[in-house]
Amino acid sequence: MKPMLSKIRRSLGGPLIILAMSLLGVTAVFAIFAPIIAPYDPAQTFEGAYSLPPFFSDGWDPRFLLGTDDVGRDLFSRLIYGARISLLAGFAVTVLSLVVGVVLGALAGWKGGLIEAAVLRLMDTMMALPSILLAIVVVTILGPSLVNAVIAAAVTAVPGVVRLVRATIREEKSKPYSLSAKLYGAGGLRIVTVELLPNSLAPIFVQGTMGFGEGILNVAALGFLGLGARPPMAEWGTMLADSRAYVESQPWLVTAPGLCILIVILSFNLLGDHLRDVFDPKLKTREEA
Amino acid sequence: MLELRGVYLEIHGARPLREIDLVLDKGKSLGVVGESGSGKSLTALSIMGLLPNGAVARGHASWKGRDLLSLTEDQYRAIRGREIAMIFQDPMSSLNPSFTVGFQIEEVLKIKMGMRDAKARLARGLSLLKEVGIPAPEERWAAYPHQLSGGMSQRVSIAMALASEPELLIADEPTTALDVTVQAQILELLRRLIRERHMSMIFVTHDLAVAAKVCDDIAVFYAGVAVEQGPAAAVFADPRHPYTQALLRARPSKIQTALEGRRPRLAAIPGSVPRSTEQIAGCVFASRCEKVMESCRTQKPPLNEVAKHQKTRCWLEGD
Repeated sequence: MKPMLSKIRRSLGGPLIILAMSLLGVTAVFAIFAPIIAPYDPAQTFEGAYSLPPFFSDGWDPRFLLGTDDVGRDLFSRLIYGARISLLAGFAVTVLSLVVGVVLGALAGWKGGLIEAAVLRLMDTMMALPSILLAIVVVTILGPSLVNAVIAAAVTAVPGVVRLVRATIREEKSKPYSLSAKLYGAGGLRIVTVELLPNSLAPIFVQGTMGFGEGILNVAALGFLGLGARPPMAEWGTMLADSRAYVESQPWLVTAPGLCILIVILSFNLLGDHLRDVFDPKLKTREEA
Repeated sequence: MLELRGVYLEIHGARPLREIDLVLDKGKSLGVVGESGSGKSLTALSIMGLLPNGAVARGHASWKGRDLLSLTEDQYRAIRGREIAMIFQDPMSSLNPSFTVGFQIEEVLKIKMGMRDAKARLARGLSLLKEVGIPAPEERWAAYPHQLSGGMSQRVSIAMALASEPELLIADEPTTALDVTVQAQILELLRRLIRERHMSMIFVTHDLAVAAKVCDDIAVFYAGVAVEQGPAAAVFADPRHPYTQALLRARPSKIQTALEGRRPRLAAIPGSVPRSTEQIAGCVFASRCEKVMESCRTQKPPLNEVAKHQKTRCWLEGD
């Protein structure tokens, strides 16, 4: 049982990781139970309660913990619903990019030759464009909406996944157990999916965690540019853009969603970094040997 | 049972196998010895039909009367891993790290032997592990490959190979990655299995001593050519090909140390092995051979039977 314990301890990591995981946990709880936790509907406006300051300033209203925006909507409620949208968007971006990336990457890594060259050159081309520019192009073609922003963010994330998966599949493919599987009669599809992919999961998992944060960031950025979620939807990036005009008179309106984005992305990145350490095969053998 | 005649292999313009001749009878073990790059492993892979992309083997290779080189992939599957099994050099990476030992053995029993009953598979699997000398097989059954030592992993690989009750086992340097004591155990195990199961074996190695210990016959490879094949005792006692002779002279031995006194010096073969991309009109060893003749440089030597079951590809022999 001892190795099990140390494994758990190691996978928890330092206090920073615990903090990051707690923050993500709180965000997730907010996202899931938004209707219960949020005091008001995110689109509900309160007449006469325009631009109220948050609790630490004079003149705040106990009904609105973090104050209200220029049209009298409760900022706290909007942030909570925003967590829901951002996490969902991040999740969708990750799943979408992983599915497409793993399929293309595995195909390229396994088949090699012309197929590999074609896939890789396409990915190189995509990577040659700044990701936000690529996303803008995609949204311009599809039209601005949250769903299209997710698709656009996923498209920009695909090349990274493809290259990663291709590399790991190639490496696993070169190991004798892959030949051994062929020896015992496994077909190509089976070897890739059943034999090789499970052994390529660790880096894909790490990439997925990092991609989650990046996905949220890209969707928020598109929202900020007016190419993602449309107002009055309570999306952090969109909220940020909406309150830009009041950065001097009511700075908290801009700061709050910005901070939310910062905290969530930072947490995901910390977690991703940490997972990379945990999954490092060198560390693994050192411990279990 | 297995016969290769004039097999050659081309890949990207190179010819790593130039002319391979092998004969293997039922129940016999054949040691294939040669330096790195002499084509030992590629010959093994050619027999298994597991060549890398872009490699084409030609010539004549028959297994129990069937022409191996003209088999379709589907036909090959019925032989590969079923009639002919193979174990690899690095035991730590020839098992899939994601699955337990038991699972991987069961897969072979399910796919290659068509065993549907899980209980029967478990029983068979455990008896296989026992047969290859794994203590407490019930405990090892649920172990993952990284929890096993190198020797233990190699035993599991052998058990997997045996699961399909093959008639021929190809062992590609199965002990190279193991330390000497474990190596001796694995060699002993392989010898016992061959005897008990009446299997044939092709044992690929660069270690002459190991080959001599395990094998009935020896085939010596040089630069993609099988230069000499014969009974192990005969090849070691009376090597006929100049390369084999030079190779045996280059072994460190106690006798040599005694003869040369304080400064024992190993014999070496001058020159270096030709590249697989080189076009060679005559004998591949001609450039380094001390008995080289005019014909050696211009014409390929034929395969001559020089003694009972001993054959060599050299102009010196024959008429």
